[in-house]
Amino acid sequence: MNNPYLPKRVRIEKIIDETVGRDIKSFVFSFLDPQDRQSFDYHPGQFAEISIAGAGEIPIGIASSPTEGDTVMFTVKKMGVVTKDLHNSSPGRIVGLRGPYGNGFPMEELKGKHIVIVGGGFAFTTLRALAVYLMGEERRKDYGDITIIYGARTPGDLIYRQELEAWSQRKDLNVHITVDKAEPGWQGKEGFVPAVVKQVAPSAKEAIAIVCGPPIMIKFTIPILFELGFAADKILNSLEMRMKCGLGKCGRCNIGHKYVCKDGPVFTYAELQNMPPEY
Amino acid sequence: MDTGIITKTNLKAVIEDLMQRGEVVAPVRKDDYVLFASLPSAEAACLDYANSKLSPKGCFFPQAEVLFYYQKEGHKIFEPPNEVKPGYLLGIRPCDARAIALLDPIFDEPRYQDVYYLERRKSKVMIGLACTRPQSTCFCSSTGGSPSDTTGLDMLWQDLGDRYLVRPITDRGRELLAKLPHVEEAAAEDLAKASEQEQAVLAKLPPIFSAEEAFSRLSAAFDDPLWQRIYERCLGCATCAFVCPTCHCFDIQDENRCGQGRRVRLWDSCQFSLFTLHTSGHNPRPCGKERLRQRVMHKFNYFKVNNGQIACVGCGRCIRECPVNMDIRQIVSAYCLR
Repeated sequence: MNNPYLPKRVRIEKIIDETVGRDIKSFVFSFLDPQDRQSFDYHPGQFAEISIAGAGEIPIGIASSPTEGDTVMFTVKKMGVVTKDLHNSSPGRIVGLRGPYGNGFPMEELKGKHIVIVGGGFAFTTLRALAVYLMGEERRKDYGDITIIYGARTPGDLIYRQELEAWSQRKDLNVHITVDKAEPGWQGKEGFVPAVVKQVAPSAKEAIAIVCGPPIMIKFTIPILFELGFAADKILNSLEMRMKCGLGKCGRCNIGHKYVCKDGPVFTYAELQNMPPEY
Repeated sequence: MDTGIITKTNLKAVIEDLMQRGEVVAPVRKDDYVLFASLPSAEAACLDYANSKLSPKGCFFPQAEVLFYYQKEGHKIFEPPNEVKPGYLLGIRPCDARAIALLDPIFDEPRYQDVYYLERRKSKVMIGLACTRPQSTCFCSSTGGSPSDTTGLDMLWQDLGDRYLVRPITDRGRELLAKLPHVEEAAAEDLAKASEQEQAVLAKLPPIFSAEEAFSRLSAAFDDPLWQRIYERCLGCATCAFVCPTCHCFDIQDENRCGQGRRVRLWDSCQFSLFTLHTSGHNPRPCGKERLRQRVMHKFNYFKVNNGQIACVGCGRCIRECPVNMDIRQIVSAYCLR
């Protein structure tokens, strides 16, 4: 019997400082055993448990797209015991990984639709995975317009900056980057994400909006999407919750009868409206 | 033989025979209460008891267990040695056996099978002991159970005074019955007495509410202002969860010693404020009201949505052990009466 609690060994290949504050880093992992990578069969929107022996485990959304090769990337903010330990790592360190877990984004349902990605702050990680997946050469034709609206507090708080700039150059993407407060030299938009969504006004026709960000951003973005004509079941959110097992057993990530770890983390806004407001 | 009889004079010999065949876990007296433990001798078994202080769920889901040992350097992990001994769980009450059957779909979910639980679970033949003396806190009949319910059991014994009526339930139970020494065929009067006793015990346990009623009433109760009043007495000590036969929430922690250590799983409870606290400081269940509601709703509503049955078996332990006399029967009844 396969023991789902045993992490597989991964090596940190690369560590990327994502923000000026240096509290958000991306970690690129490779599996020591190639078989483990094979069984780590994931798609955008799923998460995994990163394990540091002696510190514990943390559930983190997968920031890489499965189309990016054998490595798997996670973007992690320094917050608690495990993330601090991880942040103190150097490339070459061996840590543990188990997963992938959760439903992820409904990739089949997104086919043939216009896609509106709305992200805020460092919640952009699984949205990056999604964007990279959708814009891949062989897959781009399967989707309509792709609109990406992403904001952070300051230019220094934007993650994946180089990629964002490269995406902005592409003619087959509508990319809108905004900051709450501009700094000298900033050439992008200034303003909160909901306001930019309103200004860009992506059409709701045959479209699906995927929204990840701080609660306050989500709170003000949803009404604007409604105004634009998005139905509640065409708006997707990805939730975070404290977790231990990630397997639907330890009992702490439930919202009503739904478990964020196995029924989520991706829920439509229509589903959320039917769930108790306990998240 | 369909149904057997073991006279009490032969009980010791029968338990000794079971002990020859494997480990026997049974109720054992400790100070002024009874707990399930591996029997050191046949005499230690205490089958004349109301119910154990802690439920026997710990036989399959221990309060603390090692998931694996590790070496920090290189994240090397070592699975713990398999110390599970095949044998028998003797003297489990029908309510507690039902509780184990309720835990099975959680740990035996096809996608993520919990090997620790399943190894232990498979290792024991379940021999139940029908309830003949319900306590004032018992309410199994309100939760879909009964004092002689056979759910989760391989064999059920019933105390008829000077003898036990022995009924096999599953193939495992029938196999065991064929092997046991000192078993006589039950006579018609034994069966009649057993049935009469069963009815008499059931009559002492009139249902207070039905599982269906509790489920449907609580479906609409999330925003009910009554939670505010109910929770105020609760201390949030989680004694209810620790004695509960169906509570299965756990925590996972690393215990270090120099460069090595072990990852352990420990019972946890939704009644603790840290249970859902995010590292950011946000807590989806910030107060006792939300936490008590979670426990009641999980048992009587959420669990049934996911698994088809409510997750309370009416053993009454939470009522008996609560330091401030919270009574889950009253809480559920309050919603059923609204």
